Amino acid sequence: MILSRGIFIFFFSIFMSDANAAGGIDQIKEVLIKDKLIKEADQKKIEELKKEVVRQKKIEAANSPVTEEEFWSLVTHLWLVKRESRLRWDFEKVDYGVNQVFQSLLKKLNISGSSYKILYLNSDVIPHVGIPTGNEYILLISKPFIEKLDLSKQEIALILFDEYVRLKLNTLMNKVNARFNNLGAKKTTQGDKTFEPYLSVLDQEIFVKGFSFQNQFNLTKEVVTYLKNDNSIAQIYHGLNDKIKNLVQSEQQYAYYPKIYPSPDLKETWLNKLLPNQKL
Amino acid sequence: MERNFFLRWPYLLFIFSLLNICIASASSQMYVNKNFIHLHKNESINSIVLLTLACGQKVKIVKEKNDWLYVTSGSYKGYALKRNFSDQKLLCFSHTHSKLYNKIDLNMQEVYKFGRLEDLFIYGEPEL
Repeated sequence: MILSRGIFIFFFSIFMSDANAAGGIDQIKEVLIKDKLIKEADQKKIEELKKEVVRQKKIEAANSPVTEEEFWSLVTHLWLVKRESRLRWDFEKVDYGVNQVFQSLLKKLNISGSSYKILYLNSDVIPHVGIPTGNEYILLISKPFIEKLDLSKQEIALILFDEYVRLKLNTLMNKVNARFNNLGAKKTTQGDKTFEPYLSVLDQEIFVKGFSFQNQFNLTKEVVTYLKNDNSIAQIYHGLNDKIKNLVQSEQQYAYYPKIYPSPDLKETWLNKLLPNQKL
Repeated sequence: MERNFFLRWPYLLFIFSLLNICIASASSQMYVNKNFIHLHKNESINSIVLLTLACGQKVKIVKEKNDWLYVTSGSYKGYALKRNFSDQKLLCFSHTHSKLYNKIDLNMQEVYKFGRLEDLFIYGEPEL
């Protein structure tokens, strides 16, 4: 600010001294006034046009039906808020520096796609899951699960990668939509449903039903297509699955894991077949 | 004289552009682009929450520091994460589909949780 004032005074003094000498000050004043008036008028017009565009957009948006993206963005955020007591995400933010590692993993594996938001849970109710929300993904991961397995940054990033790919495959939304016979947002906009049935479906699919063997196989197959060219990452992926398999077998607390993600044992078999050279 | 006058137009333009920059930076305003966000007392998501702002609400930017903006909203002054604001007013779902949105019937604690959620998210995107 001070610098700009200084520059202003400098140029203005040069200008004024020259202008006085030339005797053109009145003319300059006139031009300045005219210029100011024109600018003000233009500015007013622009502001009015902007307001009109916003007004028109509002009318259009209000008259158009809620899109699937808008609807699910709201529902998934609402689900997180309403289920906070189970998920327990409201605790002091942890940062393992995973985001940078995850980002470089996506870059290394040549993944493009939606932006994402990572949220740590302070509960074991679900170890990890990805939920779509409009045009971005929410990746949930349990802090106790990370600590129990003593996961490295790369291993956490690979769990997030699994969930990212699962979201790209649209597995969860296909299951949820099937439950509603693809009526989705349409029903709700007609005003004959509240949000609660949608939240319950997410509860059922995420906490209870989980994913099928077929879903898991498709995911593994898809993940392998990205990992097969990178031996070191593939080895970490193998090792991660081993860790999870051992945890599930040894800790009663995680006995539910194979019901949600069937199953680490089978995944090992699939990985050995699909990534044979990278076996540890 | 005419010639001198036209020669000095670049000065004028320069001065006006400087003035515009100063004015714009001193009184810029932005709009909340999330459902709800928190206005904090300090530059920390764990500092006291002074106010919860709703989507589309306008704030005046006082200063900018790293990922944070120091803003005023009504009589409140506080810090909020920069990523939660846009230069342009968005068409918020709560405004465009208010009838449906009002069915949610959020209580105060849930409104707070919405804001907290935005504080806790770690944002990223593939860098291809």
